[in-house]
Amino acid sequence: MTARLNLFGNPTATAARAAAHFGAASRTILQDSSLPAATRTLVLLRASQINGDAYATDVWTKNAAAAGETAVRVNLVAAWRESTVFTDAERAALELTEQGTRIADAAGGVDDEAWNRVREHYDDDQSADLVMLVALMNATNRMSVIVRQPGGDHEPAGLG
Amino acid sequence: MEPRFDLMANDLGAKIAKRIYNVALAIVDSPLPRVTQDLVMLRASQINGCGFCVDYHTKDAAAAGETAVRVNLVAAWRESTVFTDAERAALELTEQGTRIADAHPGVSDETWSRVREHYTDDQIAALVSLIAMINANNRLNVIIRNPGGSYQPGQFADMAD
Repeated sequence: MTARLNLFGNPTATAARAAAHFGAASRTILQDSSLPAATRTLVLLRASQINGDAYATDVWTKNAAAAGETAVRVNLVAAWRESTVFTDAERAALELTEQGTRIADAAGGVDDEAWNRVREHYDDDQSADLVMLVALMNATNRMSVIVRQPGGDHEPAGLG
Repeated sequence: MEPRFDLMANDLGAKIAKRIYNVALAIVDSPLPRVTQDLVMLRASQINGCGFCVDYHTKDAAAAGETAVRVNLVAAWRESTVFTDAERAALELTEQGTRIADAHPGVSDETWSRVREHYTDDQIAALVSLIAMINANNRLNVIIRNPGGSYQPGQFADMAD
């Protein structure tokens, strides 16, 4: 399985230059945000699962494991709602991720209940970072899904 | 987190659960590869958001020697390099057989043909029954909010007849 198109094959093309900015935006949040690293990873993984992005699912499950996350927590992200292994703050972030990801066809976006739970657990900066993270991951998921970028070969090290 | 209702504390609930478990055992003993059975049950449980079942089948898969990368990529199997064509056919059947609500068109002829290419009649009988049973179990656990996280492989072994 290979991708339909190497999106960033030509380093001087607009797509590759745009990707560099995109990567910088992601790095800003991943490196500088006061959101707990484990929470960021849960958010990225859940959005990638919903969008069926195997490349990112591979990256974030392996990065989570490399960062010391347990298999049971990684495995239960897809069914977090009925699981005992996530904190209330993590559950709020996961709910925001789901509602912020499933916005197509007038689904209604993020309801007040989910938003209030986010506000209970995260300060303004962290809430803003969560929104940015969900948005950036959804954009990245679409890049990979559209070109059928396959998952399976990631080796944890970088930011993916 | 506690379930809303303890099915096993109710005589009728416990009796039904025991029968369900023994139906599952008939499928486990079928010629459908055990690894494929785990993938099917995990994918349906993910779609239905059944924490108890996801916990159950990821731990069973790991206990049976399945790698973390394969378990982790089940949710996005379509764009993954780690599943065989036969497993992909079973996963596609699982998704289409699970998402049948609200006038979804069910399982397409394309998907069905791929299943026929890779599996014998006995295996198909097991596969279809497995998808039906796991969807029933998912609903049972989701309705009563039975949470996942504390399953230990083999914990229901004594329910076998």
